[in-house]
Amino acid sequence: MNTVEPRSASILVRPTVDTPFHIDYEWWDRADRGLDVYIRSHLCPEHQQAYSDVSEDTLVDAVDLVTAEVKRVPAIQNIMTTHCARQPGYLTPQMSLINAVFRVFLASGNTPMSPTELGQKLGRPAPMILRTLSGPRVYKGIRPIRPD
Amino acid sequence: MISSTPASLEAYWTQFDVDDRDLEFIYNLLLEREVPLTTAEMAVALVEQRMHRLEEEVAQAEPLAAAVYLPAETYETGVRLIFPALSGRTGVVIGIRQGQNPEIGLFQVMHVSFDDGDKREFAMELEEHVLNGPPEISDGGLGLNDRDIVMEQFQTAIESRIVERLRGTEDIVWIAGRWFPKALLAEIHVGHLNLAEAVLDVAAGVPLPTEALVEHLDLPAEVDPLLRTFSLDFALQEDGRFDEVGPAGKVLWFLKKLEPPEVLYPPPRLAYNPIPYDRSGLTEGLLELERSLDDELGPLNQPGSVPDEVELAVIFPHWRVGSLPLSSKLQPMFPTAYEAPRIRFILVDGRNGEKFPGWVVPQEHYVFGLDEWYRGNEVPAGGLIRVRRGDQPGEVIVQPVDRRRRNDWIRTVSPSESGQISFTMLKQPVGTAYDDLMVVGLIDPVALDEAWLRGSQRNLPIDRLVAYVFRELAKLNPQSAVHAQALYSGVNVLRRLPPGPIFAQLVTQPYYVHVGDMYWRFEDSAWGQS
Repeated sequence: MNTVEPRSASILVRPTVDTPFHIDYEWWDRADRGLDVYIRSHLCPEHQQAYSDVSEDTLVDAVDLVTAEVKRVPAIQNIMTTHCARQPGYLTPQMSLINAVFRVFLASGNTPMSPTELGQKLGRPAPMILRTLSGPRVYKGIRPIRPD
Repeated sequence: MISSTPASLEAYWTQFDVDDRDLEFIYNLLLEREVPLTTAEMAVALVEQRMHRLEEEVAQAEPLAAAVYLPAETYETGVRLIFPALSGRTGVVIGIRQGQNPEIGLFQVMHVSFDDGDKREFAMELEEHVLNGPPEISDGGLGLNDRDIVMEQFQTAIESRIVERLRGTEDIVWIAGRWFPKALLAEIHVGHLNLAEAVLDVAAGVPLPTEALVEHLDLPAEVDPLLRTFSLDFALQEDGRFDEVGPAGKVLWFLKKLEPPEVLYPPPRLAYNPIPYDRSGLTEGLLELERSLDDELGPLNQPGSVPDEVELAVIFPHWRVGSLPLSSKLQPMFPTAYEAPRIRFILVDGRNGEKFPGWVVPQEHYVFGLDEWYRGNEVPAGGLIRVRRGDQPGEVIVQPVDRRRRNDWIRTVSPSESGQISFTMLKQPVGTAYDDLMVVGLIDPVALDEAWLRGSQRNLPIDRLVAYVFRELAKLNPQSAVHAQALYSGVNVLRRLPPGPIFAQLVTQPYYVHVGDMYWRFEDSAWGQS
């Protein structure tokens, strides 16, 4: 399991089951870890190959399924949310909690979610998710949203 | 122009969401009726309202058919469009560019300036999109312009959207399945609440429905009885003295001061601090064992058919606390609740029919209330019991397996004078059948609790904790081999852990050597090196 010290997952106010968390991309920069490489490892096998030469900065036009509104988003994130995250086996009960949470954030385009919401998606107890995410170490950059 | 595909209305109801106009409609509905409504009642009214709105939208859209935005169409700069998916907002196309997305193929992107100044981009010449078949009145005979058929097919989704939206509003309150504007609640003052407390005090530990409390309060007769009950429910919910402990669909009030502390505050013995660990090394055999142990803190088993009866071995921490795990298999046996964090129900001794109160604590995944029953039936930790639903709603039957007294040599936990918790084999009286791999005897509960509370061993890092227990158990048999299940049971005497992190130690640490059939041995030389 990758861990980076010494920054704490906690913010000044102690997180609760209703505190929104997200993947803090800056954490990956500080930790000098290859977020791009790591995210690619969560693509389905077909798209790991197809996107092996696509740069992380490449943008595509994502079309909203309901309104047909177009937004420019990173190509890898787009394929993750529109295809790979919908494949059977993307989330399994056997998966470690941290991996499962990370995948939920990838699938939702890193939309902030509280342990309660994550628990509903993963079928795991919210307090357990909270204890895991708000411990002294930050796992895979998953941190509470910092208040402005 | 509006196309007429039979799937249009199906898509409309599949994508149903509660917009601002719907919310306003719900407010008005509650104000008009002046009584709290269930989500289902509001859903029926809202579906009727939506159908009416749909008819109006289609009637209005017909003269402007050419200007309704369809992603499949081609538009020129300067064309004015209506966007039905954005509640009918209108805008003008001010630019066009080539779309870029290899997964979609060829399409265009148009830049639209809305009448309110907002600018956004939309797909054009895109053949496959749900908006290409917009809602219409004729649905090819699917019946989706019939309220009852819509409710039959989409009720769950529509109700969940309503709940989602209303939960985000501050001025509508929800209790016991009904909604009502906070501002219109009947006044319940502190005198009423003190009286309700006194009534519950007199009831001496029996939870009461709201109606039983209302009849003791002198509430204005002109207030609708349903609103009276709802207002009192809300006031009781907001007052820390009271707790709603009824199963789903039933409101029962209880006094918090009469609840067992183990229900209000999760017992420390059941507390689990999740440990991240790598599951990839777990063998199919260990995963299968993990599934069969069905620990409530482990990965949830996929819900299958609900069995009539569940037989389980109670692990040490639950046995000591007097609780049962709310595991995947056991959960369907016990009452659930929409919101109540604690549910009071009745346990029935399957041998003699004796009834006693039990508590489900869903968020913490345990059921409390079996302490005396375990002692009375001489159920050991690891003892086998059967759980099944009672004949009456809200009753659950518990029964020891093969209840008869026997004296057997079993693994027994014994604290030393220095407070060290260790294991030994002792002949112990046991009152039920038990799982050989899970059974743990106990001679001196008080001494064990003292040693446990001191915490020197339970706070060990997991590698040292598991190694310590493994070596203790290995001493107890001539082959010095330990079964993974016995290790899980033994570790849980010292600290509450699900099987996953314990089994991960077996497959990741070099000092555990697999000797077959879920048994491991300890390699002292590798331990020394590590």
